[in-house]
Amino acid sequence: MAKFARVIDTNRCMGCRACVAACATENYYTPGAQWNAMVEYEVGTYPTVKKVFNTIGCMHCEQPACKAACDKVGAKAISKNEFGVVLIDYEKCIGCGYCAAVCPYGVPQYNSALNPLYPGKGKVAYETIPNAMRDPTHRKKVNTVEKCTFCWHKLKQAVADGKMDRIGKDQQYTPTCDLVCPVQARVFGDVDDPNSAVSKKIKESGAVQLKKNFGTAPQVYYVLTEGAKS
Amino acid sequence: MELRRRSFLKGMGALSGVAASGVSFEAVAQAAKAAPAAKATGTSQAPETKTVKTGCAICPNFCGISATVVNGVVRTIYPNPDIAPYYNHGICPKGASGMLNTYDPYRLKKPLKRTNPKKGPDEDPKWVEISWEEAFSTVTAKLAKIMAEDPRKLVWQHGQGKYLIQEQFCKGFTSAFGTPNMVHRTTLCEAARHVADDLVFGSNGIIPDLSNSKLLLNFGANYYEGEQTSRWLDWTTMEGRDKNGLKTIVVEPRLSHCAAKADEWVPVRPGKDAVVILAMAKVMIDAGTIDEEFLITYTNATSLVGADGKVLKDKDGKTPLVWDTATSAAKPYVGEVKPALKGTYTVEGKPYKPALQVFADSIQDVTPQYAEEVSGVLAATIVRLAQTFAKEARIGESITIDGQKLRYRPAVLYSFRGLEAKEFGVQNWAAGLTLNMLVGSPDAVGGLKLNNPYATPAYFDASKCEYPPQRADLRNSVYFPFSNHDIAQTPQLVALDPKAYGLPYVPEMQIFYATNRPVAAADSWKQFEGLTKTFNVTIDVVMSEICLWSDIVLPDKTYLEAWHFAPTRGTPLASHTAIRQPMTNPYNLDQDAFSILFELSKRLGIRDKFMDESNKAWGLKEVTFKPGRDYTPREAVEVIWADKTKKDFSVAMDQGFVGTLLNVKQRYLSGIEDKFKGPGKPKMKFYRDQMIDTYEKVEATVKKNDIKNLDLPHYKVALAPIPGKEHAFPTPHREAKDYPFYIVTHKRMYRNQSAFTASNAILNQALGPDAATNYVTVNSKTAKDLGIKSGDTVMIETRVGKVKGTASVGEGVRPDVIAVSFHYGTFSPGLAPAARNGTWINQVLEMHPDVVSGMVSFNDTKCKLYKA
Amino acid sequence: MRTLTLLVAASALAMGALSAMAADAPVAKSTAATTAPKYMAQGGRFHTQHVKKLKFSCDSCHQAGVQDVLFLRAAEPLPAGMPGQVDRAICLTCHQAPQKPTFYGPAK
Repeated sequence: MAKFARVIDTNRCMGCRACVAACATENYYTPGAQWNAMVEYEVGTYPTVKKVFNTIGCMHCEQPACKAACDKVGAKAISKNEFGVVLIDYEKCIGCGYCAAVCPYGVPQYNSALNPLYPGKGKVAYETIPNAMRDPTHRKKVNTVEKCTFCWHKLKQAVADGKMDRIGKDQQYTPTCDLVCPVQARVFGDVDDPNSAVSKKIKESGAVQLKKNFGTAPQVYYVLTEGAKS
Repeated sequence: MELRRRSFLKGMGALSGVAASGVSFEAVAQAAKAAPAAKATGTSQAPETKTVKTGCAICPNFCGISATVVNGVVRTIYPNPDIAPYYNHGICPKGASGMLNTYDPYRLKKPLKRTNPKKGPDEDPKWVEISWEEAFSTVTAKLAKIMAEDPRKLVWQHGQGKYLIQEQFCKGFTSAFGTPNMVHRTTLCEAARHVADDLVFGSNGIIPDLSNSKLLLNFGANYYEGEQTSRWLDWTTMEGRDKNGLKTIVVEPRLSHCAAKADEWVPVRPGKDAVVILAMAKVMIDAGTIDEEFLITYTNATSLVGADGKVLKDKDGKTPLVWDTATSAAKPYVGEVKPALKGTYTVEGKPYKPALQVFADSIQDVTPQYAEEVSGVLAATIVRLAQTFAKEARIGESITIDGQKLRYRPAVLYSFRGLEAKEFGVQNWAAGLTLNMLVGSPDAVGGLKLNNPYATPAYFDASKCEYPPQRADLRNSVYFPFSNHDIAQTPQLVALDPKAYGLPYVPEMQIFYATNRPVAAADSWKQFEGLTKTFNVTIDVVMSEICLWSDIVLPDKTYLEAWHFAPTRGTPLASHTAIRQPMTNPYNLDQDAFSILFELSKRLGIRDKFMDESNKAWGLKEVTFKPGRDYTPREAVEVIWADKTKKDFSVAMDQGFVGTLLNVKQRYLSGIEDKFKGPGKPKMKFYRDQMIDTYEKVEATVKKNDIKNLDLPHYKVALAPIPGKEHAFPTPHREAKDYPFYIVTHKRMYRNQSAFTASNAILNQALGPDAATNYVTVNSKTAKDLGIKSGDTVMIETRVGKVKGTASVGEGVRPDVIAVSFHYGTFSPGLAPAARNGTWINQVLEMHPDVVSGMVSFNDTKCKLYKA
Repeated sequence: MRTLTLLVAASALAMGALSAMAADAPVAKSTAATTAPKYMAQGGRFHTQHVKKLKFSCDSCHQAGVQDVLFLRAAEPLPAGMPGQVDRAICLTCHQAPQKPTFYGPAK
């Protein structure tokens, strides 16, 4: 089996937010519910200052707190599939917001309104594509929670096409945030394969998980630049 | 749920492979469930998906992109994976969301006519939609009248338009029309950098050979947040750092993203970089850590200079003389002559010094201590930077690449707006070039690659200092002697008072193509004033501010809807040729800028002339535009592609581009090695004697014509043959005494220029609230003294005016500096409301163009800052 | 009212994302932050459990000065009257294994 993981190298990330914009267009962004976000902060005092650029999407934890909360309230809308991808079923979500409350990383985004991109101006771009033509993860629903899916709609196509070895390599089989980066600060792939690019990167760079004190075992690793928080 | 395995297998094609790889059927079932939407719609229609390879046109980077269109909707834009070896590995957030500019509901869709004749900041144009027929006949009538009376009265201006249908067609049209007035935006961008290049090596364009560099000394270039060739610079810097030991030091007042990722940030006081560089030069010259062989072999640092600052010439009046140490005589540098770099020599009773000696003497008092007082950079840091730069340059070393022994100087001083967007921009970048020359880095492996040196030998001569000026932008006139790249901001000032500049005609009509000129200049309201004097036509995608002062507005197509022969950026390693091709047209636009020009040319009876002039402008040789026929935009692009690439157009449409990896000869042996090396060849201008000759011409012209509005002493300072400490004191620094803070301006990644991306809903909403607006970056200590916290509204007051902003307090800026980005705070009601967030800083910047190049001074203004 | 001893992650002064405050021009709020789900609202089940049943004070969770930078929603507007965002580390005290209800695994 394969387990998907990602490494984000904050030594390389230059803070352009191409990955943030690309995720938004790929995943039918609705205002107020951002799946990938940039966290940036200064380290040091003038004149010895650096800046840390650190994007955060879903960590696809091994022990997702969101799933624990969702199971506890009985909705059972959150699942973690055999590839490690944590997904929300909008049809089962009751919109309680507990997953958003417990996630250490603030990942789940509660969408109360499905606001349009241009209020009063009708639908534009991907807004014109009806739900029937969209992957289930893109059929946004009012009063549900949504979040990064590791672009599961692309990964499952790789599975269906028999091209799992192209995940992280071919654009159509790679999460969009990972393929637009101008400095290739992101690597995605199968962490169960010790020879995969992502496994090697984790090993060679000493990439770590953020907020390990929560014990959720996130599957997104970060190469920490000088002064970066973990 | 029962899985009907066989029907899945049948429907999914390659599933046997899937089963064999051990994938669970649950996964497959999910995939099948997601496959749109055979069941849901009751049809068996899979979505129509196509991939289109094309080029982005949002900024001057021109990344190769691959767009996916699903059922006619542009769904995603990714980098073109095939272009990575030649150019960009990734794209930026603007490019990734570029389709939003195409789908922007606020964009212009129909031609508009102004019915309120008054133009002003509070005037409603009272737009009326008109037909294309009415638009064409109105514009043609105006143009025809001007063409008959005096075609010079038409002033054509473009900005990003140069990079859409490309300047060659604009040149073709204006040449056919008979006006010299085609004005690009370079003096709002990098004109001073270009002109310093022109004066030093007879052409312009520089880029570090970064994949081989060990040290990048970056004076204010900010490619992590900016544009030109950035996506190659980003990638190459990170690769160089991680794999080749590249170190970067960024010298600039603000912690740009480049500074934030550098090995060291040196916060220099704005405008004072020249003294830092000159002090570094002094340290290096005093220590002898300079590349003397380079200076002798490739530059005129050996030319003998007299007490009057002029170069000693041979009997022919042209050939410069050097001091031959072999024969102790002044000779041309030919044959066995061994030129001196230092000393004083007597020729016919008069003292002469080699130019290097003159330079060294001139900076005797630009000590590191002096530079510390002026620039705020510690003397010890300056000394260390000089020593490090000289050391990393590895003077005298060579390296072998592909069997060729090449000069190896992997230290490079690079800059973009940091050194040159200033009143003394040419001199500041000339100082940067000087430091590069001192270590021999030009065209060396790992050094500063020069674009096509000596392509224009005329740049080594005095300027023509034209008077009266023939052009409405005063290019190459006595006012801006070396403004080789047009002057974007002068047409509006000249329109206000043409007689004051001696212009022999009065501009009557202006056409603006993809530029929001006044917003992007400095002292912007003055620019808008100029617009009230002419009949204005604007061709653009959005209702930018310049539209509000226009009489006719014509909608253009975006790059995802149009055919363009694309501009491209070369790197030290590769070049490529590309097109842009349309993939959608959601608002059913009929025309684009090319078809508009073409139709106008037809109605004016100059169609064939337009295309013939376009042949010349494009340099077409074998496949050319023919007279007697029409051309659609696509047909025009096909002609150019055929001539330039000799490849079938299907290649362009399939791949988007063709690329070439450069060989060693192209990379290292076709530049100065070919043009300037050794005895008997022309030399790079270490000492720019053409400036002195030009000043004499300026002085003579002013006296002869009794010109009152030209400050000769200022021109003498600006037209110095070598940079000096006086170039660190622009007008606002000398005059605005009660204004304690320096304003620096900068770019951000989340918008581009002024209006085109300002309404993009993804950029405004999906990137985070701090991308939706801009800030006044203030140092934490300063903020504490002034009682300012992050989020407070503050007032920036300059000698020009006042503007409010939102404070962002932090450590990433000098205490005496505030930093405000461009791109925000625009005011056109025709843009999305979110476009108007933030501060439009240009309107309060003082306008003191570099009189050498015409470059606008974006980084010299001083201000007061207080809580609003 | 009971107050908790808190596990608060050390946070240096950090520049998180700032709320968008327009300069002069009015900003049309075309993208209002989505309103809180009813279960999370002040009268909803979450607060009923913690405030009414467990007698937490508001500021035991909504702490002033806390800037958990590594938190995607740090830029959200604060609930009315609250001095700060909730640092999720507060929840660890009661919800980390083996405590029930368990949302978090043992610290690694």
